[in-house]
Amino acid sequence: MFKFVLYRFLQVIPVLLAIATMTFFMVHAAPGGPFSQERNVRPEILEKMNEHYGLNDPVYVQYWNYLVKLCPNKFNPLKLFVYDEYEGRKVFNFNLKDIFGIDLGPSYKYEGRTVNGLIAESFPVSMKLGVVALCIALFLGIPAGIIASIGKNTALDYVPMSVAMVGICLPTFVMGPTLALIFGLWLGWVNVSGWFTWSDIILPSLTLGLYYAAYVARLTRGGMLEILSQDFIRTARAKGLPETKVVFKHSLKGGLLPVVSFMGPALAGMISGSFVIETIFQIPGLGRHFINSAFNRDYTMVLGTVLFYASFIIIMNLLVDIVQVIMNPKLKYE
Amino acid sequence: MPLLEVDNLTAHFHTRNGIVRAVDGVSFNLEQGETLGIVGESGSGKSVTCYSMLGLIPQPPGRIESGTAIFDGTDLLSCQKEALRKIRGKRISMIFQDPMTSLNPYLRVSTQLIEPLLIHEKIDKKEALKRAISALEEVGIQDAPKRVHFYPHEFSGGMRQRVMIAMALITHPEILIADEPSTALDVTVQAQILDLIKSRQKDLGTAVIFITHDLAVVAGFCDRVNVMYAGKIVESGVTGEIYYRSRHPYTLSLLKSIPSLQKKGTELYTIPGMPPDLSNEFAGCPFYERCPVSKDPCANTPTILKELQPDHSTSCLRYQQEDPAAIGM
Amino acid sequence: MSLESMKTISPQDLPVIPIEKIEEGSSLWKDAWHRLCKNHLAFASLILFILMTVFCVVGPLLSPYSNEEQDLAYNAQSPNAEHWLGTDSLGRDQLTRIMYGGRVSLGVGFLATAVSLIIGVVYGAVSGYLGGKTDAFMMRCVDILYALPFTIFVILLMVIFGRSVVLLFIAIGAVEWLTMARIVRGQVLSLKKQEFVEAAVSLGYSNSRIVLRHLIPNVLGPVIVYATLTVPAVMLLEAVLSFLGLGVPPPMSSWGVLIKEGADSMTVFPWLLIAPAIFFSATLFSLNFLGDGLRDALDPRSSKD
Repeated sequence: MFKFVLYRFLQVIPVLLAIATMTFFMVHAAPGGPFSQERNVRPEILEKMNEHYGLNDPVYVQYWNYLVKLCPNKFNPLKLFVYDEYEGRKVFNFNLKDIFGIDLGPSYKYEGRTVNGLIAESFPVSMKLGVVALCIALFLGIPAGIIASIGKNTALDYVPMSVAMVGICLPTFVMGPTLALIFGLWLGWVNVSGWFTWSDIILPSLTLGLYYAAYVARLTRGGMLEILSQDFIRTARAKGLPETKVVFKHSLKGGLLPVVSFMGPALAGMISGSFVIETIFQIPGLGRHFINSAFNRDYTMVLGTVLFYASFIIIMNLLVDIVQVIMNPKLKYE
Repeated sequence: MPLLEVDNLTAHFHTRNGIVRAVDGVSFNLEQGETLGIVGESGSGKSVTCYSMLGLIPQPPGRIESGTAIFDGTDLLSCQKEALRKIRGKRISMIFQDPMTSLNPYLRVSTQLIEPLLIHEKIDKKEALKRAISALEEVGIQDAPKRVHFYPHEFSGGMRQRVMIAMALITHPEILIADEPSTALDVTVQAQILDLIKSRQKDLGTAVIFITHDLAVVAGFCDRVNVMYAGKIVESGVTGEIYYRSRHPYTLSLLKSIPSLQKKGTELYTIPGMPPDLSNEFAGCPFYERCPVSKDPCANTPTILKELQPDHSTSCLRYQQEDPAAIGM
Repeated sequence: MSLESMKTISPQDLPVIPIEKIEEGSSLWKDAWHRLCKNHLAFASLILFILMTVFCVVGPLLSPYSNEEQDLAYNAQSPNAEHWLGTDSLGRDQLTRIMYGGRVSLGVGFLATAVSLIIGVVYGAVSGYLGGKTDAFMMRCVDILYALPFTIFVILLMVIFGRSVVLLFIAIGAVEWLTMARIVRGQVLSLKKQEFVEAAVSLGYSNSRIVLRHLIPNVLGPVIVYATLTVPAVMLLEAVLSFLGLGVPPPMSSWGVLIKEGADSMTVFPWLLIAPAIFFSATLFSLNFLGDGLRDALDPRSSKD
C-alpha cells in the first residue's frame, strides 16, 4: 500500500513539470507583453517595468528562475494559521510560500500583491463553495441512485432518473441564472449575487451541486444494479439477511465504486464549473480571479493559478485512487 | 411425517416474450437426514424449484402461481416474508454452483461467515468468530484463525466452496440445499467437496437436497432421486431403482449419455434435439419430440407422476395404462 | 431445401454475391435501427434533433428579420405577434438570433467532435493494434493528459491566441479525443484476438491496411455512440467558453453567447434568458437520449434491464 502511494506520488512530479513547462512557454509565446496593453505608458517606464520583473532576460533564464522558485524547500504546516492583528486572533492562511516555500512570484496587475497572497485569499472561498456543492451532489445523488436501483423499473426508478436526466442536460450557466431569477428576484429569499451573508452560498452551491448530483445518481444506480445482480447477493439473501443489510452491507461498497472513480473528473469539472458560477454570482473566488487574470494578461497569476489547479486536481486524483484501492480489496494485489 | 412436504409447486416467469413455465406442478417429500437428488438438464427447473421455496426468485418477473411447501408446520410459499427470512439461512441453508462469484469480494470471509450467526442467534461477535474459526476447521481449512480474515479472492475455488459449506452449516440447519456444488470445480476437488458434504451431513444429521445435472454423481451420493424435465418431475424413486430399473425414456437417455458408461471408441451418445421452449404449454408429454419410443397419444395425453411401486414413480404413459394397447401404445 | 439436396451443392452453384452487398446487408445495422425505432424516447429524440437542425439551418431563410439588423424603435420587446420570442435591447429579433446561434453551436459541436473523432480513433487504433510497449507508452500519455485540467488550458489558449473559431475547434477537439482513444483501443485489443484479423495478417496485408479495412469498420458501433454523446459535451464546453466571453468571436453568436446576454439582462428581460436556454437544453437532452438509445441499439447486451 505504501509502495503504491509512493509510486503514484513520484509520478506526479514529471506531470507537474510538464504542465509548468507547457504553460510557461504558452504564456510567453503569446503576442504582446504583460504591459503592452496599458495605455499612456512611456517607453522608458515600460522598459523599467520589464527590467524590474526580469522580462528582458532570455526566455530560458526566465524559465529556469521560475522553476527554481517553484521548488518546495520547506514544510511548515503550523503556518496554516497565523496571528492576524486586525482580527486579533489566529486565522486560516493558505499561503504556499509560508508553508512549502513555493514562490509563484508577484502579480503583474495587482501592484504589491503576490500570486501566493491572491491564492491564499481567494482559494478558501472557492473551496467552501466546492465542498458544499460536493456534499449536495453526494448526499442527494447517492440516496436517489440507491432508491432507483432498488425500485428498478418502477416509479421510484423513473422519477428520480428523469429528474437526473433533466439535471444533466441543464448546464450550470442555465441553472444558475434561472435559480437566481426565481429565488433571488421573484421570491426574494436570498441575494441574487454577492458574497456577504451565509445564505449567499446556497444558490451557487446548489447550482454546482445539483448538476453533479444528477451524474452521481445515475452512476450509483448503474453500479448498484450491477452489484445487485451478482451471485453473492443471492448468497446474502439465502443467509436470511434483511433487505436493508443486503443493500447497505453487501452492495454499497461495490456499487459506489463507479461514483468514487467519477470523483476525479467531477472535481476537475467542478473547478471549471466554479469559473462560471463565480462569474454568475459575483463570488470573489479563485475561479473569477483566474478568468480576470487571463483577460488582463497577468502572466504570473495565470501561470500560478494553472499550476495550482493542476496540482490540486492531481493530488485529488491520487486520493481517489487510494480510496478506490481501499474499497476494492481485489485491486490491492495487482 | 416428512421434514419438508412440497405439493404442486408451480412457478412462472412473466417475461416480455410470454410466460415461461419454469416449474410446473412439482411435488416431493424430504425425510429427516436423507439426501434427495434433483437431476435434470439446465433449464429443467431444478434450481428454480429450490429458489422458490426460499423466496429467492426475483419477483417480478418470477411468480409462484400455486402450491405449498410445508416445513415444520409452516408453508414456505405463503408465509410472511419475515417468517421465511428467519428460516432461511438458519434452518434451511444453501450453497451455490460457482464459489468464485457466490462470496462477496468486498467483504472479509470472517464478516460473511459470522453473518448467519449474528442475525439468527443471540450471540456476540467474539463468540461468533470463535465458531466461524471452528467451522472453517471442520471443513478442512488449515490455519483457520489467520485465514478467516482473508478476502475471498485469496482462496482457491475449492477452498471457497469449503468456506461456502462452512457458512451454510454454521447454524446447524435441518436442510441443506446444494445447487450444483461441484460443477464449477476441478474433477479432483469435486470428489473432496462431495465427501465433505457427506461427512458434515453425517455429523449434523442434516437433510440434503442435491441439485445436479450429473447422474453419475447422484449414484454414490443420494438416497432418492427426482428426475426433472421441462419443469416437471418425470421420474422419482430410490437411487437403485432409478439406475437399474428406470422407466422413463428421458432418464434412460440421461444414463446413456454418461461418458464413462459408454463403450470406448464409439461416438458419444447425446440426446437429440433441444430442451423445449417453456413458454409454450404442453398438451402431452414434454419429452415427446425427443423421445425415441414416443407414440401418437403421448403428444396430447396429459402426464402425471404415477407410483408404480412404493419406491418408484414415473410419468411415462407407457407404464400408466392398465392396457397400453388400448390407446395405441 | 432439404438436407439431402444441400449436401450435393457444389461451390459453382452458389450465387456470387458482390462484397458491397454483403456489407450492406449486414444485419447488425438493420437490427440496430429496428431496436432504435422501438425505443420511443430515443426515436423521439432523433426526431427532435432533426427538427432542431432543420430549424437552425433553414429557419433564417424564412425569417423576415436578419441576425444583425437592429431596430432600436422596437428594442427589448417581450414576445408578441411580430417578434415571436421578443427582441433584445438592440431591437434584434430573438427568434432569428436563436436560429443563427444554433447554426454556430451545432456547427462547433459537430466539427469539434469530428476533430476529436479523427485524433481519437487513429490514436486508439494504432495504440491497440501495435500493442506491447508502444501501446503501454501511448496509453500512459493518455493517462497523464487525463489528469490535466484541460478546460483551463482551453481557456488559456483562447486568451493567449485570441478568440477564433478555428482555434476553438482545435482546442475542444484536443480535449475530447482522450476518451475516444481509450474506447477505440479497448475495442481493437479485443478484436485483434479474433480470427479474421489473424487471417488478414497471415495473408500478408500491411499494418495500415489491416487497421483501415478491418479494425476501424468494426469499432464503428462504439465510436458512433460515443461521438453522439461527445457532440453535446462539446456544445456545452463551447457554451461555457462563450459564457465566460471566450467563445466564438463577435459578430458571431452562439447559444452560449445568447444565454450569457440573457443572464446579464434577466432582471429586466427574463425572456431573453429563457428562450435560448430552452433551445440549448432541448438539444442537449435529445442528443443525450439519442446516444443512450444508440448504445442500447448497437449493443443489445448492454441494454438497460
